[in-house]
Amino acid sequence: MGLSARSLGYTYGHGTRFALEALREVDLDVDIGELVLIAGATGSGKSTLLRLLAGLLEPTEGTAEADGALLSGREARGRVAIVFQNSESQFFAESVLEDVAFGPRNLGAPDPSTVAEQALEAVGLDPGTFGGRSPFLLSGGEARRVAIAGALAMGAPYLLLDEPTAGLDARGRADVREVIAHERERAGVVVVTHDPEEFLSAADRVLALEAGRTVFAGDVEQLFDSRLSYEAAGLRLPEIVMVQLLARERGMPPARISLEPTSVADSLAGWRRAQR
Amino acid sequence: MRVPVAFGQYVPVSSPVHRLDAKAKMGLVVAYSVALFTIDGFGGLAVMGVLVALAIALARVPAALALRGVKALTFILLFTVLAHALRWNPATETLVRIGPLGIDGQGLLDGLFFATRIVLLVVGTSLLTLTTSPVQLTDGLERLMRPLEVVRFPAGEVAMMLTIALRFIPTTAQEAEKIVIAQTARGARFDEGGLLKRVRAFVPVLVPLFVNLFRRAEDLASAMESRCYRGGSGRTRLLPSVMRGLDWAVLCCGATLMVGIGIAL
Repeated sequence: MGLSARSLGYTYGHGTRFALEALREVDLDVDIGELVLIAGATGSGKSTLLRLLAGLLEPTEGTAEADGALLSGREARGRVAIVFQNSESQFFAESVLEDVAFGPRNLGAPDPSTVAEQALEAVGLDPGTFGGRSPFLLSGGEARRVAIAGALAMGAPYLLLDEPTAGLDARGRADVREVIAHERERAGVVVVTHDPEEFLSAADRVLALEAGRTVFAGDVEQLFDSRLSYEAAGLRLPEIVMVQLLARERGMPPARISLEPTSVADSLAGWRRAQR
Repeated sequence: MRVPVAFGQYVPVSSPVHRLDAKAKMGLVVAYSVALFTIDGFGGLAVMGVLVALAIALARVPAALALRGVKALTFILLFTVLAHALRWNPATETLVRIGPLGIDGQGLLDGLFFATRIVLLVVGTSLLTLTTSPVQLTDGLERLMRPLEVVRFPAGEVAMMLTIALRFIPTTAQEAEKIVIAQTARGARFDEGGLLKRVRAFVPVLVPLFVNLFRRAEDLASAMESRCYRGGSGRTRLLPSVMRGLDWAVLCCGATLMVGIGIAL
């Protein structure tokens, strides 16, 4: 069960002279309560994979399923919700509440307004304060959270987010990370990013793509050992990880790689003391 | 990425037709269009059809792309044929008669003639945009409009406006597609119900599309102003297009041929 992809592939313009293979032989598993990162440089096929998982594209190879059901067309709507990159550009309604209620209304929910209010609360926005506002007059962070609320209101057990923190300031990014951490308690979450650093500490697994192919798939610890293949995909490990890997090369005893600055500082200080 | 090539969108390949100067191609299209409207028999249309087919082959453009515009005109073509062929209570002999309606043989031929003329017009003129980049096209238009500057016609500004408009057609199409997908992911349905319901279903696409277009227009205007754009008057070109001897030769021979066909057939 869970959200899964098996030998998934997609070719744009399949069968025409404009055919362009965007994804090939990709496998992925996401369970409820998990956060999986899909990393890769621009054009690596991340967004295509996300659209396939959302049932917005029909795979030209392999299958994508959620809890055993094939993800295809409208059947996928209640199973997988997606937040697109710069998702606030899809706003159209006069009020935030109306815009968030768009999805549940389309799904035939008996009380879309209540669902929308609950979704706004889930992203940390008070429905009383924000519900009546115009979505076009929100700050960047607020708008992104409203867009995420629009996806949460679909009530799907799996949530896909495409570059959820792109273009936000530090406060906005922290707010979005908090929302994702909260949602992960009830849903399986997939985050697509070309800069995975800010989600690495929270991620269960990482899938790195290059030119539509998997170059790394495993947990975060394994990723540090596969540094070269990860960097070959145009990605870069966080500075805090690089410091620990360099310290290892200079004789520091191997220890679990940490993404917490305090823990890393303590380890380095302990090693220095031991050297003296 | 999934946005299909729009009708008439430039196809960047290397071919003799692509290399021909935009002004020469425009001149040929004008001559071709005039000739099409002076031809009064199927023989003339057949000759023009052969010429267009040769031009498509020479341009190395997929024939399906050149014919794409015809698909959009299906209703107009059907209407043209039916409007000529159908007769209400015909007094003369008809091919088929259903109640008070009859299909007149001569009318059917007339309808087919005018429909073929429309098809040839669309295919021939779309060859211009398929083989000429938007920049070359507007550059050519500006040159052609330049004499109008005598009567204070803003040829430069109009050309710049056209360049920008053409440049943003694919961008707008891509943006519209993105919004359609985003709203589809939220359960929107665009292919259900009657006409009114379908029109209403597009409100969640049109509103964000226009909001984004206005924002982009404002950004573009600011960016142009910050780079000292002060209108088209007196602007020079980085790569000025010049009609070479070959361009003049093709234009003169082609236009003469078109006029000849138009008069003779």
